Formats: sequence, structure tokens, C-alpha cells
Amino acid sequence: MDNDPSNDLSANRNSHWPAVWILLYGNYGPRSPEGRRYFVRSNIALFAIVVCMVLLALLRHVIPMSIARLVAAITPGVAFAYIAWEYRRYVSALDELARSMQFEAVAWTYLCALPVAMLLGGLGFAYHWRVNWYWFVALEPMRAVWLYFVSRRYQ
Amino acid sequence: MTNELRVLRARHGLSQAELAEKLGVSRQTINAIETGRYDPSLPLAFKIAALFGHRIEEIFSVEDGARKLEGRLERRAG
Repeated sequence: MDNDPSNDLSANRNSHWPAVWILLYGNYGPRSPEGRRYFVRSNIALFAIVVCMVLLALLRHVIPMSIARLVAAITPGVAFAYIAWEYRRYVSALDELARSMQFEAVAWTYLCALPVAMLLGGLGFAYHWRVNWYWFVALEPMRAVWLYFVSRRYQ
Repeated sequence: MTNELRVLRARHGLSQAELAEKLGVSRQTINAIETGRYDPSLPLAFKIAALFGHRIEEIFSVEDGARKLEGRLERRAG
């Protein structure tokens, strides 16, 4: 169908962004080589966190607690640093529209996260609340939702 | 910004996917440019202009003056 220009002349033709992938993973899916690479490597990093935590739980009587605490503390950070690095490579490999959409989603997420972080910090300071910083993980689904809304503009 | 990309693509008998492949972008990018929802970067605009053998200002314009291109193309064809 795509090879026939007569089928492709409508100015309002749907762009077919992969909405499910965008909402679930915040990217355009593994159809492209860079998409496949990012999908595989980011999932390996997430899997490594799970494996590490399971191993720590299984070996808790074997390895010293200080080492176990250290590994448990740095593993998620290291894994997500790797995911962020792979995301940077992934976005760099995208074409300019897809890349600008990713940047816009990241920008909107940051702008939403900033007041939330300040609010939580203020509440924690004023009322001595213990803020659980794992709320930060919710930024990824938020970025995916923003990417979905941005992609709707180009449907 | 308006553009004549759809007209030029039709004249060259290219689908959006074929043009996207020639330019090294996604089909969605071509669609977004044609519908006026996205303004291409300067390097991409140069690539488009080079591909169709026109100057950038003959393809992209900030007003509807790009209609001039159609007249020029028709004069060439005639």
C-alpha cells in the first residue's frame, strides 16, 4: 500500500504511532534496530536489579550485611544510569520528529516533577514527613503519558 | 509555515514511505511536514530541496506565496 503514491496523498493520513508501546514503555517499540537495542538492554538492566535483589535475599546469611546493604543501595542507581545512557543513545538515533517528541515529553515531565518534588520537600521539612523518594520511579510512566499526548498532535 | 512537499512528492510519484526512506526520516515526519504540523530542521529542509532540485524558499514559505512554485512547475511542464 505504501508503495502506491495514489494511496498516500491524503494530507490527513494517520501517522500510526504505536500508542500501546508509547504508553507502556515511553518509546516507539522495537521495530527499528535502535528501538530493539534499547528495549533489550533496558530490560536486561531491569532484570539485573531483580536478580541482584533475589541473590541478596538468598545469600543474606552468607555475605556480610555491610556489603549486602551497599550492593542493594547502588544497584538500582547503576542500572538506571545504564538505562539513561541507553536512552540517550536511542534518542540520538531517532529521526528528528521522533526525537523532538521525546525531548518534549522529557521536558514536560521535568516541569511536572519540579513542583511535586518541591512540595514533597516542603511538606517533609515542615511536618517532618519521611518522603519516600521511590516516587521518582513514577516519572517514567508520566513521561510515557506525555509522549502519548505529544504523539497525538501528529496523528 | 506552508510547504509544497505533497505537491512535489506527487509529481515525482513517491509515497510518503519512499520519500522518508530517501531522506532518512520516518514516514510520520513526512506526514507531519506535509500537514503543516511540524517544521523540518534546516538540514532536512536542505535535503528535501536538493532531492527535488529546488531552492528551499521555493518549497517552504511563511505565507501562501508558495503557490508561485505551482505556477513555475506548470510553466516548466507546459
